[in-house]
Amino acid sequence: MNTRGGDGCPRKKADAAQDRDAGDKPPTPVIAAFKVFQQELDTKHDKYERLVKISRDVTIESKRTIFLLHRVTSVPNAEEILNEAEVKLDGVRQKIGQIAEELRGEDIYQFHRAFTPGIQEYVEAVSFLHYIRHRSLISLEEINASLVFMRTEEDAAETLLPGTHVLTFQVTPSDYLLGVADLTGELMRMCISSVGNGDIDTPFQLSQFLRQIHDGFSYIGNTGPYEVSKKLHTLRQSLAKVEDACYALRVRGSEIPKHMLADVFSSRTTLIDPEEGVV
Amino acid sequence: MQQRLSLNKPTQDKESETGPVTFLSGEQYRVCSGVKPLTRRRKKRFVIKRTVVSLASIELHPIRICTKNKLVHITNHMSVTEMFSHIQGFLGADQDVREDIRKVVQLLEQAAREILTVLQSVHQPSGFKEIPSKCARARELFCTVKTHIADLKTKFPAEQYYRFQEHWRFVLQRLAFLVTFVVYLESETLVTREAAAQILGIEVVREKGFHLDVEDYLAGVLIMASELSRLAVNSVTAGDYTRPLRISNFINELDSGFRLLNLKNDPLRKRYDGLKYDVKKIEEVVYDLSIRGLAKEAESAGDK
Repeated sequence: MNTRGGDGCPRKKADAAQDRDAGDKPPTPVIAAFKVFQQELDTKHDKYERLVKISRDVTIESKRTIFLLHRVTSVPNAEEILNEAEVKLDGVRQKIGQIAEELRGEDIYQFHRAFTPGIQEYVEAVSFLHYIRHRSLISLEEINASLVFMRTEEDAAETLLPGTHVLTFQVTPSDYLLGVADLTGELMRMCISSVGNGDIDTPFQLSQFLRQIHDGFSYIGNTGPYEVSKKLHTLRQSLAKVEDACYALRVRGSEIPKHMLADVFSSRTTLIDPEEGVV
Repeated sequence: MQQRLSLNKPTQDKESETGPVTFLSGEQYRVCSGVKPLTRRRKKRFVIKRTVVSLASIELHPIRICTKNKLVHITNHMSVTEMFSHIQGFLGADQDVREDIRKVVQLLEQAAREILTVLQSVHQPSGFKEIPSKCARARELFCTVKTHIADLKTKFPAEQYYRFQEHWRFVLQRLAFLVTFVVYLESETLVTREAAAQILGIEVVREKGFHLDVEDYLAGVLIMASELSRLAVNSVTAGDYTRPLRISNFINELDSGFRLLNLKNDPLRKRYDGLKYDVKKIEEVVYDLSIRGLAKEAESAGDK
């Protein structure tokens, strides 16, 4: 932000100087060409900044949704929270609709770096909600399916009048993968906190699910983008934590009072060597 | 990837209520409240409608319509493993494309090096007389560049330019530099972006396909500026005292052009920061010439 503000000032001066020059003599072809470039670059940078801003909003709202969803384990009426999360995510989707609007007629990869963090966070939130509801992994197609926006001046969705246009936002496979990798961290937290609430089944379900995801990532290996391999390391740590939790539950669950179990895991997980891994 | 392009395939009647759903693996779809069961004719209309929406990966992920009000359950058939092998399919295809691009880019780099070698000889004392012939030779070599770029265009979908841009960004900047340099040596003017793109056999605007991005063009111009500061020095050594003055005027004009741009903190900005040293260098050369009266002498020689 600061840099933009800083840029603004000399630019005005340059413009003023240019205007003075223009009064004296017509601008040379070079100057005229650079004026065109100036416009083109400014348009591009402005668009980029707008996208960054929307992406940041998407990130914040998605994070809040995730925090909300973590409350699910400790509340009796889970459905209410899930619905609330759904409403929040609808808000996020509207924001993504704005991104789609900005990207109309553009190459999405030109501005991909501006909004990829937000999209990853959204994937994380939406897949977390999906997991809590259905105990399964949301597919890329399902995510993309909910990111289709009808923009109409009037309610013309039925007839698809010329005034209507359909806007879609496509989550790229690598954004999806990175979002899912983040999801595993949330699942690990959910596992630990559910034990604290005396829920003995969830950790086992979660460890199975995480194992499947881990296998999936191992299958992809290094064909994926660079960031995926970085996240794979964190994933392995999360999986180890969950597996250890399940181990502790099985071995000692009958002996230890439930409220102390959480302490047992935390002391165990510190012993894990981060370099230790299957692959 | 291609078999997913099944948008027009009639789905089961019941499911067609969900709009053009082609991938029936989800658990819940939000379905457009307004959309009645789509007849096939409608669907076609919809498809036509959608092609208007230009989207990079439209063929990779068929679209479905949805809005807020109605939820339709579709049972989930896809396991985690299937999902990941599905994604792996995308990534594998992506890698193949990158591999192909890399091969062509290597050829392009080779061609660019050849042109550079031809043009480097203008810095030799003997090279100054040969400038026109060297430029003609470089122009010939640009023809091979053209064919390589034409080949490169076929390696990936035209609308995914920016997805793979980093592969050819460097070489395209080099080529932009070479084009601007050749045109400068020939006519002592700055080549327009349009003309530069034409020499390389590419477009200027993104919508038309493989194009010369404005930032790449500007980067090429900046590389030329430092080449010209070198040329100014060497032309004095070779006894050509007028050239530095002309270069100086040209570079000053470029400098004021770049001053008009509001650059972000990006690679182009970094390169632009180097321009002032080139300007300074050339000014020093002009200074040296003028205090020794060499510039004037050259001018009067030019007048005769």
